[in-house]
Amino acid sequence: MKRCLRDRSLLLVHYGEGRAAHLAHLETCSDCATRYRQLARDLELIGHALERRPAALTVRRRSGAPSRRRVAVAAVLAAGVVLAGVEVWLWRDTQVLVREQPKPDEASTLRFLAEVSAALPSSSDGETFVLSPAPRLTDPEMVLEEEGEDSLGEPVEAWTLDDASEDDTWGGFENENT
Amino acid sequence: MGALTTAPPWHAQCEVLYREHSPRLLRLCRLLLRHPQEAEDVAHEVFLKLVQSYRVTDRAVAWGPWLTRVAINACRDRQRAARWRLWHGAPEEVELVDSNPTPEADALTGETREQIWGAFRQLSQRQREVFVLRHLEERSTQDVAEALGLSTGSVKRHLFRAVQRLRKRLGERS
Repeated sequence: MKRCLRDRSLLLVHYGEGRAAHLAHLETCSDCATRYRQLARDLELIGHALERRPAALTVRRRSGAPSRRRVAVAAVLAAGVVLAGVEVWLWRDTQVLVREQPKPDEASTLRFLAEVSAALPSSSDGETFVLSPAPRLTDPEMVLEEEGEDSLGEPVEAWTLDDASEDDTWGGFENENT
Repeated sequence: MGALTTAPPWHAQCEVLYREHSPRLLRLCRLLLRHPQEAEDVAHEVFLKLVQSYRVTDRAVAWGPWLTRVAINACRDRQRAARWRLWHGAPEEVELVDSNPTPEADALTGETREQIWGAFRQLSQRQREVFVLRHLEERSTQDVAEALGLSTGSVKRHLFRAVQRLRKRLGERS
């Protein structure tokens, strides 16, 4: 039975590391002998070619093709643009519209303080006060009156305001302390 | 009347080693590196390291294999640095023409030589090292294995693949 040698075995024979059986086969098999001679010729050719420098070694940029660095810079820029776009998109979606609260003016503050000051002293005496709807202090016709402290037990109108506007944003309220 | 200064004994021994191994190491570096000038630089570096090591080493060292190992490692370092340089800067356009062709080399056409060199450049670093040491330097498989820190089986495997790829390129040519 004829079993030809593999390329690897031929290479080992070439470098003097082949087995005796391989050498014996080479002497009897013309196919393997031909392949072996071809291998030796190729290796000799390769050796000669590598013994000297390439005829002209030219290291040049590939024309038309972008260099690696350019590709890298372009990729980084593109990634930056995409990232910025995503950020803007997310920012717009999550933006909460907050209305600015109207700043209370001085008149409103004074009115509120007047209401509080009118209500607080009566609580310690057990008196009952009824606060009328709060007017705007800016109203020139506003009159602040304080009525009798001697009418105990009766709902006493602490102060009144002429022409109190109905659409007062503070809203009037009544308070009864018993 | 004697010389005013006498060279230390290690100097003469290093000189012998340089004469004996420098052509071989220069060729090895030229095969493993892309630019001949770079190969010469590496070869000089290797002999500088030889001098430094020779002066401080007391034990017996097989300096031939030592030089081969150091040269291969230096070539690897240069290749890593070259890759880094290639990334950071565009390569310059240079043309290197061999002005001393040998008769054997003349038998090869320039195209064939270019193809073989192209195939050789495309081998892996390990395959190149194994092929150069085993085929061109004609070192034994055991020596190559020791120089590269491989097993003999790995050396044979790398050598076979290298030869296969080089021959394939030759086959494509023909």
